[in-house]
Amino acid sequence: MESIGKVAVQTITFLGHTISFNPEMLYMTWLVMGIIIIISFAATRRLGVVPNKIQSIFEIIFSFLEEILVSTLGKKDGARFVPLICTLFVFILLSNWIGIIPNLFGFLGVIIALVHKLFGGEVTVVVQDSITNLMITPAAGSWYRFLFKMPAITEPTKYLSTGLGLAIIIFMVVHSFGIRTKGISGYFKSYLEPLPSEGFWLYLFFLNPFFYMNIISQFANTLSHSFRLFGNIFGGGIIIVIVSELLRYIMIPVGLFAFFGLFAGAIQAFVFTMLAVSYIAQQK
Amino acid sequence: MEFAKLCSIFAAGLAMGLGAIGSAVGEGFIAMKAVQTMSRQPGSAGKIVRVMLIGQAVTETAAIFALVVSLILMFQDVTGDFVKGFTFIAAGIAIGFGTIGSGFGAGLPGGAACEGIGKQPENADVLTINMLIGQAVSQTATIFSLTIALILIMLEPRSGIVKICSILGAGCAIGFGAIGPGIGDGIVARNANLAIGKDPANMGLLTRTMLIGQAVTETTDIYSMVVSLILIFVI
Repeated sequence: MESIGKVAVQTITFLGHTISFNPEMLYMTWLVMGIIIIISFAATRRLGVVPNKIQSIFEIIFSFLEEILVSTLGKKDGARFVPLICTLFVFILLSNWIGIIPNLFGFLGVIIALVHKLFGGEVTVVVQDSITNLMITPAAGSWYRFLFKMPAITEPTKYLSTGLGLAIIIFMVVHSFGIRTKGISGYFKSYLEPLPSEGFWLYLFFLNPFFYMNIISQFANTLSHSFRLFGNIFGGGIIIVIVSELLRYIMIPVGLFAFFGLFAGAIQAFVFTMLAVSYIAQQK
Repeated sequence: MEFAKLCSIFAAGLAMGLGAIGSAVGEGFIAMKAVQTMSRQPGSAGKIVRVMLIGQAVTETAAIFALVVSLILMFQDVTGDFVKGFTFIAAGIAIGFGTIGSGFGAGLPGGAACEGIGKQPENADVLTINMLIGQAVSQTATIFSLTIALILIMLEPRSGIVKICSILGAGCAIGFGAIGPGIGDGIVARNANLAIGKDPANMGLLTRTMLIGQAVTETTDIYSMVVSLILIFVI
């Protein structure tokens, strides 16, 4: 309960600068990436005309997103963005869904420690406010001590850094695509809309109020894009933690896990991806 | 009694009293549309009543969130100083006003689903699914308010008059900020559901567009949440 609003921070000193980062988020991001690499490798190892189970799941996601991309961006540009958009969707979906896995290592450690105590091992058990809330500390040299030090599995998207990082990638893709399709002058003129971009309007662009509003709206897009993912996943996580605390961890709130983990996770992954597609389509 | 406990009791009443407004209006809206449709199509009354009850149950979610916060505020052991009391009032404002929009908004697609079943009773399943998705996404505004309210309840604030003002400001920001997006999300979902009721073949396209439209409608609520978090943790 005390952990709400706080994040684990680790600092390193590199060339005289102190860099601080969140180790939990990094572990979880690498875990998600590892799972995606393994599953994709398994799915594409033996490709068949008649797809096996795992291949058909990937084909469903691929064809669904490809159809949307081709219908919004056209055949040539749509096909170019399929790898980026598919990766984004699969990464966010798995990141949101991984949070429903309970803390298996900690649970295993508690079971082993209790059995060890039953046979006379050196385990300190402190009963906190209820019998289900135990504080268990194994002896210093025991072999299962590493289980207590494993990080709990949380969603990497629960931290703002992940959402902001992905949104900044999309920001750069959107604007490089805009410069590529419209040219630098066309890209610049698009900021003067809806006023005309000819004659003295072009030379006195700094008097155009829409110029500043368009620039602000680009940054507001990125801000809301990242905070939308963060707010939904973080909010769901906090609600689950507090309800579990109120139930004294006797029961797991399965309905809340299903709603916030599976349903809201899938919806937010889809919404993040589709907003990325529509921001790209605006630059066409 | 301590000041903090007095504030907590007052905030419990504030949360539940304000939290009951939106959901009640939304549920009434679903029932109104169900009755109107039934008067034209008495044959499909069974299906309409079923969808009405499901829709009303989901519409009540916002009020249940307010109830949960209200119960926490009433029954928790309060320890804290003068400033801690104001976090409870801010939490009550946040969840109380925050449920108004979503409660009413979640009612709108429910009404549209009842109308659609009156037109083509065989579409009941498609309409129910889309109604549930629309309603669930309409609750996002309330979920943001609930998050901020729970953070405020658990917060251990610094003392000082500035902190009191920033905490009350955070509650007001997310509370009032959630009213508009909740109703707006409901309007999007209602019109998507009406269109699906006419032609269910377009469901894929309409549901996709509905989700994106709702996500963009929520943008102002996200700004409110950013301001609230800054007020709570930074200032």
